[in-house]
Amino acid sequence: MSLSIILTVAVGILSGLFIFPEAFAGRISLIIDIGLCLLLFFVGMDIGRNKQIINQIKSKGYKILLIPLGVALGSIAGSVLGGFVLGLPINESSAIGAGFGWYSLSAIVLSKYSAEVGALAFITNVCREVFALVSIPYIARYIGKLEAIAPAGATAMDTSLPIISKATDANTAVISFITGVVLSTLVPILVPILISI
Amino acid sequence: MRIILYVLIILAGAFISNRGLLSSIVEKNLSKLQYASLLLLLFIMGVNIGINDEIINDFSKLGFQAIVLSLSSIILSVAAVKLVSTYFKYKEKAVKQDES
Repeated sequence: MSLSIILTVAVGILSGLFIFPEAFAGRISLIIDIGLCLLLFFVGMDIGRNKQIINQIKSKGYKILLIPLGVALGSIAGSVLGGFVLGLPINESSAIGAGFGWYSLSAIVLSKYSAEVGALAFITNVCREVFALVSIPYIARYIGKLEAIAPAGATAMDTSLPIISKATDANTAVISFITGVVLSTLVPILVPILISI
Repeated sequence: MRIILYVLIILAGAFISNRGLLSSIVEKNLSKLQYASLLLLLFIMGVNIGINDEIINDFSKLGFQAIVLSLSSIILSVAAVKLVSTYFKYKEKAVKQDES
């Protein structure tokens, strides 16, 4: 996890507290909208550059897609269950779960809906990445290699990949990458759908 | 309606980079551009949080909720993949039995 990301959010919070006038809040939605479109465009470019991904999926067989599907359903079901215990509305808890550990994108999409839900999505998905990094070696050893991909979610293609690759084997690392790409593609689609339920 | 716009933008980005329509200058600096726009957005998101007094006052509550949500997400996603991998092993066994 990059320190500059946490620092940027912290500096933003402090400027919101002490520098920006309250009236600025009304303009934030438009700024986020424009920036989000730009960011999604770059996300698309990243996905388009991974040309080998389709071939990798073909060589592993389409049944390999059951793994990202399982991670997606499990993550959303888990956060809905957790949200139910906490008394959160189902659209908020499911959308936060559909961040799949990609804290920046899910939090930005949701902060358009409400600053509080955006903040919760950010902290939840930062926690998810931290817990993932800590638990992956143990899950790989005591539960199974494929299961070790699950906590990583969308980060299975980048930040968590080195740890998964070290704790498992080359074959699992390729499946981890595929899982990460599929889940990362789902985040900007599922989060807005779930929050508008 | 917004979701259609989001998907169209992602598809446009994927199409352009997949076809190699990017100029090499943009291509080389893509990750820097991406990171800059991300940091700008996160800064704005931070401002949005800081302006809102309720969130600042509720910060410890949010932290607790975040731990519950992230742990429950991880546990059920591991369980779901456990189901999938058990299914894979069952299929493999069935194939081997057919062969022998």
